[in-house]
Amino acid sequence: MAIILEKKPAAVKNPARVIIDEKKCKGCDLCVYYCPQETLALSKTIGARGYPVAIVVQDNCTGCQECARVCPDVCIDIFR
Amino acid sequence: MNKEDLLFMRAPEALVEASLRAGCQLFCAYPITPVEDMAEYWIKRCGEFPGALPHFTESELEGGAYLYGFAASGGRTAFASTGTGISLISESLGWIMDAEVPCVLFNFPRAGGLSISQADYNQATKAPSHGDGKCLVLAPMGTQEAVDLTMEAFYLADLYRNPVMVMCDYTLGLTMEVVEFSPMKTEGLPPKTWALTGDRSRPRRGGLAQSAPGGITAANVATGVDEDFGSMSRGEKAARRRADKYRSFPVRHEDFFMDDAEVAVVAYGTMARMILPVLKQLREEGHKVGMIRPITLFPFPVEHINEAAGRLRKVSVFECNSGQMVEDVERSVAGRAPVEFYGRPGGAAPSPQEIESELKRLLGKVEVLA
Amino acid sequence: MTTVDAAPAAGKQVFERPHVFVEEGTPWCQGCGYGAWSRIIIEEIERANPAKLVATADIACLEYMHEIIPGDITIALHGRSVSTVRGMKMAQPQALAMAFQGDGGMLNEGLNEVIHAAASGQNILVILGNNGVFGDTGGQYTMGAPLGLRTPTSPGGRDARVNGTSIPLAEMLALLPGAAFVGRISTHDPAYVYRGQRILRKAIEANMAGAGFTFVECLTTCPTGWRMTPVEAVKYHEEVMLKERPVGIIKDWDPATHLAVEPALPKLS
Repeated sequence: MAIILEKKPAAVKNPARVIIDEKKCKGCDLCVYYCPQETLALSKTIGARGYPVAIVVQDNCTGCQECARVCPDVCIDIFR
Repeated sequence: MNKEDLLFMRAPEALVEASLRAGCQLFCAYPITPVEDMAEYWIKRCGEFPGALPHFTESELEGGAYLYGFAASGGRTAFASTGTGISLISESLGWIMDAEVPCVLFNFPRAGGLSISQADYNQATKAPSHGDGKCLVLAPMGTQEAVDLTMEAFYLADLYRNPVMVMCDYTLGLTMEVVEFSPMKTEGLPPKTWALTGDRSRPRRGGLAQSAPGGITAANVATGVDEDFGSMSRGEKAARRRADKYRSFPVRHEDFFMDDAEVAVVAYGTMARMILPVLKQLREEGHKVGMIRPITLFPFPVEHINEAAGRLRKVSVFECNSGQMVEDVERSVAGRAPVEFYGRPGGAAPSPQEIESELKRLLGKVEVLA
Repeated sequence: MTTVDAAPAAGKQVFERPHVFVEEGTPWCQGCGYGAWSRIIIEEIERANPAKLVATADIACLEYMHEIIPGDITIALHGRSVSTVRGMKMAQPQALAMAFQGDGGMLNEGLNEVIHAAASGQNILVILGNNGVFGDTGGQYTMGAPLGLRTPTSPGGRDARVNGTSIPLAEMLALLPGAAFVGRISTHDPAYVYRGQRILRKAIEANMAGAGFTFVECLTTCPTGWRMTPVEAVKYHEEVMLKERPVGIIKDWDPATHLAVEPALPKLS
């Protein structure tokens, strides 16, 4: 059940917004890993805590909240 | 006088009665003679005292943690064991002393099996745990004094936010005497605003709690110390404040025939009690011998003994061990008089004849035992 | 609300973090499994809304719970969290009493006391954070480690003949009549977090109703201790940690057969 199946990102008419608190993110990559839409990626720059931070790279978030639920830094809010 | 306040009781049970009357709610006792008698008596009596719980600890090790948790949440609690048990809860005692949480400890030192010992003196006064922590250690000489000191121990524990130990010994554990119970003193005890009552509106402490476990900081303990510690770390500030607190503990001792004594004995607890009748008899015979009995083993009556040593030809320390309090006496005397040692380790207790013989030897009047 | 400049009001907030994480973040390593787990704990405590909360956490990674728990929490000596909270509960019987302990504290140092607590049936909520290692000291194996886990004290992989096998504590505690509710959850994956939160909710509700000893084991990753990236740790977790450790309710509380040991705990109004 936990195994990530092949991701098939789809276009979204009214994308939700995922807000990453960049002062708390430690760039663990789990939100990127679990996002079925490939909305997120790790930045090339280093954030406040000394790690790359997760950033939004596509405007196709469905608001499924997988990222926010698993985030070990609890630094994600979602608006839909 | 209320008939219920004057009882003929075994000492361990008297201490439990005193604890209940002092408001003790949780008695951490694990069977180890004479503590099982205390547990059995507690179960018989605790129903008469609202708030006293019928629970016992499953093991000494856990008992140490119960002590901390119960007292940290504002309860009044005690732990009873022999020196063995104090060893078992030693780590928790260190935690308790650093967090400055009150509790009472009953200690019945034994030599190996079931016999008298005073060989847990160093443990109690120097190192109840790893670290700099100290217990206030009270040493009664008989059941009545043990009862009085017990009720006072709960008071002092709350006043100083510290463990207080009532240092008995196995012989006292077997004693049965008439005891009278007086009401416990409560004036001057500050409210336990620091207690972890579960208050959800208390501001979170945040950051790593440095000075005391769980953030029970002793910032509101009245130690009478008012210093600006400057830029010291919180940990150091708290450690220094605790050290000042230990220095402010009351010192107590009792003197016997010391006004014109030339030779003095230093002894505590049952050993002092065994010496006393011999002392009185020698005094009647005109020998100038006296005794200083420390009542607080920590803090030790250093200044009093030092002052007395200036007037003495000789000081001797009588203990049921291989030499523990003698080191404190040597440091107190600080060379003002020679210090000798009469030790009876391994469960032995001196007979009156042996005590008399040793005292006469100290006085320079040697008698050869048949 | 988040402190980050919020996006222009675009719809309503469907996922809002508890306020304490906005201020503090989480104090653990990158990718630590305790992060998501601490969020669901805070959310469920706020949902249950006890009038009083006393808690303990062992010295070790979980001691940082003291930065986020909304109640009176004390750090306890390593291995002594459960006994300490039992003492606190006896002094404050109306409080929700929780003990947080890692596998090092519970399966190694303090195994004695969690078994005694379950046997006693006392109404405390005990939470085990099991990642198989002593994370705080560098990832040595504990009695919760799966066979084959490479750690500094089992460099060739945990070997049953040399290092013993792991202790299935949750199943063992479920055998004791005093245990009212026993569950196991995992937080490596969002779906597991979601289901785990439901199980944790049932445990807290049972405890608030006075059920008796309630226990939830949470399997977590420890990327630092396992010397993996967080994503590698999640994969290892799925392949190895979850084996022989079924997630779910191991023993559900039935108030009819397991009578509550104390009255329901009061809530804040």
